Amino acid sequence: MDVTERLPDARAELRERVKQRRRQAERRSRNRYLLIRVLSFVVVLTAWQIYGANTLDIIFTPFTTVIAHLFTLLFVGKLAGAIGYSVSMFLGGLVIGSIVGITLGVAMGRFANFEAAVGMYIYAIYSTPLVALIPLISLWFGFGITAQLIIISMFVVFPVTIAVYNGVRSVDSALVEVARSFRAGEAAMWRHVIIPSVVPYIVTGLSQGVAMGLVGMFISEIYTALSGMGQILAFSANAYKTADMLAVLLTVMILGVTFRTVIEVLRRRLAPWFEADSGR
Amino acid sequence: MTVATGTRQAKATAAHISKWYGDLEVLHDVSLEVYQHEFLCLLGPSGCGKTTLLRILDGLIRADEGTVRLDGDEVTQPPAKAAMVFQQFGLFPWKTVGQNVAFPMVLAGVPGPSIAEKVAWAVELVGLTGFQDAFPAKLSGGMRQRVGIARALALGPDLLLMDEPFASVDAYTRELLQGELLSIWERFRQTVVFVTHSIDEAITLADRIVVMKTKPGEVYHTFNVPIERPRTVTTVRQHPAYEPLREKIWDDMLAGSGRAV
Repeated sequence: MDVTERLPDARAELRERVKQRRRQAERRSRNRYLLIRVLSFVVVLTAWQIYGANTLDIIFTPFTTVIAHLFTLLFVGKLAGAIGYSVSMFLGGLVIGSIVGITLGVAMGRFANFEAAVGMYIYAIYSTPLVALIPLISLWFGFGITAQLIIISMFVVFPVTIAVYNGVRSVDSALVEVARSFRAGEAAMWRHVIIPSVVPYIVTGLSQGVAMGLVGMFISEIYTALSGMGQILAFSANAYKTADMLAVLLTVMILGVTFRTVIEVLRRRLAPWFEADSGR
Repeated sequence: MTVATGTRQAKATAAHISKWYGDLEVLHDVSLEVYQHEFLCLLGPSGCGKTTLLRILDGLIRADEGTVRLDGDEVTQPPAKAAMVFQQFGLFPWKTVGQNVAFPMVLAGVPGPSIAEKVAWAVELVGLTGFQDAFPAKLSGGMRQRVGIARALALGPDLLLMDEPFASVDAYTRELLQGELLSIWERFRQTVVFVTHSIDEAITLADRIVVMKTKPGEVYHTFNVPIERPRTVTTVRQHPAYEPLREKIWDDMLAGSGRAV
């Protein structure tokens, strides 16, 4: 039989085999990763369970007790309402802080005079532990919703401002020149060059803003009028109800992870070229 | 209005251009005529101001002295008739291949269907059919510069300005792209100003080579390339005029760079 006739077949077969082998290797490594995660989870929970069962309830409680308390708090206690309150305050602060932060960051990045006038205060306040400002905010705005919103947005605004400012500053000047060479006006420059290159920085800023905003949420609820999840946490702590405290902490952890995941999804939607970048 | 110079018409002219960056004079009294439908190479060592001259021709920066004219009109900002191909490709990472190629036409207000048609044409011309929806990050250096070339050609420019377009790709791809540029240009014959520091590249591509000297950048000598078209990279290398011309230009550059090498 003629060898050249069989050759394409043999090559296609080989290619298929190589592809299959690679897929198998990928699946294996994915499975191992998953297995390690599950094992680690089981080990940690078991250790938690055993340690919790063999120590004072005030110090630590078993995982199953925490879950039981979590459900009691959710369905009998006030946790569900508290989550609603805290999350709305957090989202409110996040929105206000983000809008102010993006505006400030863009203005500082694009207008050198504005940066010269305002930049130093931003850095100065950002370098101050924000908790130290809370008594002053309470003095001015009291202990209610207004004060809480201001505190949360204050925690959000600085990381967002700085990230967006850095984003606007780091717009590739070569790309600005390309756009100019093709006769882009100021509006087209914003639409096609500046905004797209700042989007990933905005998402990074938001991601840090979410982390800081959660800190602000708890601090505002503990240091102003006791309210929301902060109130439950504080009451449980005062009453040495460790299981309740752990239940609240678990809830916050889940919330934090959820918000970060949402931001990550947002990044993939808004900046698919970033994924394309790492896809290689 | 076009200026007739003997039998050849000048497409673009630079007259007595000088440019300083601070105390450094990068271009000194440079005068240059680019003729209609010619492929002109600006050749010189790094720092001779050839890229600066190209950007002045494109109206991206203003000369401190002298004027640039395109078809008789003074150039004060990037003209619609000119398109630039950039050394570092200058692709927008957030735009796909197709969107990058479409970008100048979108800016120019070309209607959508016409854009789609021209994008498809230009992408095919540079051999990137099937990659329209890919992001630049997925492409090799050679493919990225193909996009850069397609973007410039899709506009249908009278004047193509190319700033060391093949300096950022590997030697093999570089020769490949030179060959493709030759065959594309021999079909359309836009006026081209091509900046390079490679003598071989200049001889391969150009009708006329302008050698620049450094410190400050000045036009030194001009060489005609007596190699007929159509050319390929191989036929140019094998042409009897190739080696003598290469040697002449080499000596000229050496003298012009004003330093012992």
